Amino acid sequence: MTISATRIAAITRKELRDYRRNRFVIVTMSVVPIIFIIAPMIQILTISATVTSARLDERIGISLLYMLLIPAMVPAALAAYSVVGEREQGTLEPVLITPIRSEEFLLGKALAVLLPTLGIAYAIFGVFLACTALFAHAAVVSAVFEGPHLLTQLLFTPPLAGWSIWVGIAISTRSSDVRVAQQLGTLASLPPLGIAALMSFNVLTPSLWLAFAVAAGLLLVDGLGWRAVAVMFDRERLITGRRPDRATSLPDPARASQDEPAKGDPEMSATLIVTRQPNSGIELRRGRFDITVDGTSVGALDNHETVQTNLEPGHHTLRINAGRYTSRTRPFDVADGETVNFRCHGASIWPTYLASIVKPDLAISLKRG
Amino acid sequence: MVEHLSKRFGDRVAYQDVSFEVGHGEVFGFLGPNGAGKTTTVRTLGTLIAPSAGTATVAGLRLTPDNGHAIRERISVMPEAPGLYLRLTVFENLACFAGLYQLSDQAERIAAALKAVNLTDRADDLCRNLSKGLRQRVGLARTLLNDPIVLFLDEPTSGLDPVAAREVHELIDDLRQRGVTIFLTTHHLAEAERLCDRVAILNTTVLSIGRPAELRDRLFKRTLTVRTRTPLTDPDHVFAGHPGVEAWQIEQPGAYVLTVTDAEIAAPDIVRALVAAGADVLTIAESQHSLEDVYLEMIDSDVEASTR
Repeated sequence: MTISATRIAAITRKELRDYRRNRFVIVTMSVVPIIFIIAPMIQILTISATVTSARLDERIGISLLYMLLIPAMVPAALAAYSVVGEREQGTLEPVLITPIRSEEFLLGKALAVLLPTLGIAYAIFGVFLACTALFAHAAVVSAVFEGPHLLTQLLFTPPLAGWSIWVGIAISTRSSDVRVAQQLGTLASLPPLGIAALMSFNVLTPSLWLAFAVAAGLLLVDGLGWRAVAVMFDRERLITGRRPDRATSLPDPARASQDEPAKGDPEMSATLIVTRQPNSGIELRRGRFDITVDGTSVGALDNHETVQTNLEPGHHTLRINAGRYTSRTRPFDVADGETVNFRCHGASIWPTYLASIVKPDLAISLKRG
Repeated sequence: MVEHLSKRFGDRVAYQDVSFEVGHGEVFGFLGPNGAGKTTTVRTLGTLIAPSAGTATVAGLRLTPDNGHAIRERISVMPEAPGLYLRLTVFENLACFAGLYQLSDQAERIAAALKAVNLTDRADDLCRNLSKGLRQRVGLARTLLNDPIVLFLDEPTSGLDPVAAREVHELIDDLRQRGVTIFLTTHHLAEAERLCDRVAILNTTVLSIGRPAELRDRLFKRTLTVRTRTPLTDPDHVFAGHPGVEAWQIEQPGAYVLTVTDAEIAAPDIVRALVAAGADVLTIAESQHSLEDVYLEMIDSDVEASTR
C-alpha cells in the first residue's frame, strides 16, 4: 500500500483553511494557551532568591508541567471533532467516496491539528522563556535554562500532542455525538503527562538518554495509534451508523422459519426476556445491541426495549454484542416453563467506556434479574 | 453488472436479490419510494458499504474489498446532500477533491468542471453563501473532476427550481454524449422518463427493468380514444372487425375507448369507418400512460402483495 502525500496534503490544507474561518477553533486555540501561561508565570516570578534548590526545582517543575498541558489539551477538542464533526455536517461521505485511504485521511486530519498545536505550544513556551529571562531572579533563570526542564519541554511537546490527537481521533471515529467525543478526548489526553511530571519533579532521574527514550517511546505509541485508528476506521459504520454486517449470504428463509421458535412447541417452552435499561438513563455506547444465545443471534434491541424469545429448557449462554464491543458471556439454566430475565445497558460512565476500548467485553453490562 | 446483490442491517433488509446490467454510456434510472434501498445500493456500488450477498462489477472491476480503491478512482458519486465545506470557497472545495484524486492539472480540471455547471464566476464565493441550487451544482462539478467512467447521481435535482433542474438535465445529456455511464437515482418520474435509456423500479427488490416505453407496454394496453360530435347510432358496426382492435367501450356519450394492438394500424382504419358511417369526428388520439402511471401501478401492486 502506498501512502499519497498529495491526498494527505489535500486534507490538511482543507482543514487548516476551515480552522482559520471557524471562530470556535480560533477561540479554543488562543484562549486555552493564554490560560495555561498565567499560572506558570506567577509560579516563576514569585520565587524568591533565597529559595532552596529542591524547592526551586519543584516550583519550576510545576510551572513547566502547566506548559505541557498546552500540547496535551489544545488538540484534544479539535481531534475529537475531526471525524464525527464531518459526519454530522454530511461532508464525510463525499470524501470517503474518493480514492483516499483511511490512513491518508487520518494522517491528514492529525497533521492539521498537530501543526497549529506545535506552533502555539512552542510560541507560548518562547514567551514563557523570554519573560523568565527578563523578569525572574538570576538563580531561577539559570535553573530553567540549564536544567533538564527545557529538554523535557522541547522533546515531549510533539509526542504529547500526538497522543492527544490519536486518542481524540480514535474517539471521534467511534462516537456519534460531537460533545461526548470532545469531553472524552480531553480526558483521555492527560495520562502521558504523568511521565513528563515524573521527570519534571525528578522522580525519574532526568537525563538526556531517558528523555530521548521516553519521547521515542511516546512517538512509537503515536505511530501505533495511527495504525490502530486506521483499523478502527470503518467506512460503512461511519456512513450508516451501523456496524458492518460481514455475513456472506442472507439467511435462508426456509431455514429461518425452521429455526424460529414456534409458540406452544413443547421443545421450546422456556422463555428468555432481555431488557435494555441503563441505571442512570445515560448510555455512552449507543446503537442497536444484538442478543446472542449459544452463539446464535436471536434478536436485537435498542435502548429501553425488551426482547422476548423462546428457548429449549436446559443450559445456555447469553451475550450481548455491539460490533466488537460485547458483554461478558453469562451462562444460565432454565427449566421447562420457566422465564429467565436479564437486563443490559451500555457503559454509562467514562472510565468504563474508555476501558472498553482496550477490553471490549466491559462495554456492555449484562446482569440477571 | 449486478447479480443477486443483497444488503441487510441486522434484521432489516435494505435491498434483496437485486440484479441488473448497465451498458457503457447508458443513463440508467433507479426509481423507488423512500426506504426502497436506492441510496444503500448506490453506497454499495460506490464501495462504501459491503453487500451481504451477491456480486457486482463496477467500472469493469469486481466489487471486492481489494478493488475498493481502484473502483473509487474510476467512479464519482454525488450523494443526495452535496456535503460541501461551507467555510471554504467553491474553488477551495474543488481543489481539495482535485488533490484527493491526485490530479496533475488541477487548475484546468477545476475550471472545466466549473464551466460545465455554469459556476465560473462564483469560484471565489464561500459555499455557505450559495443557494441550495448552486450548492447542488458545486456538488455536480466535484463529481466531474476525475473524469469518471461511471457517475452515480443520487437525487441530483432534489429541491431545485425548474430552471436549475433543467440545467442539470442538460448536463446529464452532455455527459451522455461524452460516453459517461450514469446511474441516476430519482423520485422525479418525468425526469427519469426524459433522461433515462432504461429504468429499474425498486422496492427492496427490483420490480421491473426496461425502457420506459417497454414498461408502459408491459403494464398497460394501448388505447385509442375517439370523440364524435353526436353519439354513434351503431358503434359496434363501426368499431368491430377491424385489424388491431381488440375491444371497445363507451366512456361517455360520444366518447369511445378502443383497446388496440397497434395504434398506427388501427387508427386509419377507424377513421375511415367513422367517416363512412357519417360521424363527425372531433378527435382521435392514442392514450399515453406516463412512467408515473407505470411506477404507481407497480408500487401499489407490490404493497398490496406484501400486505396480503
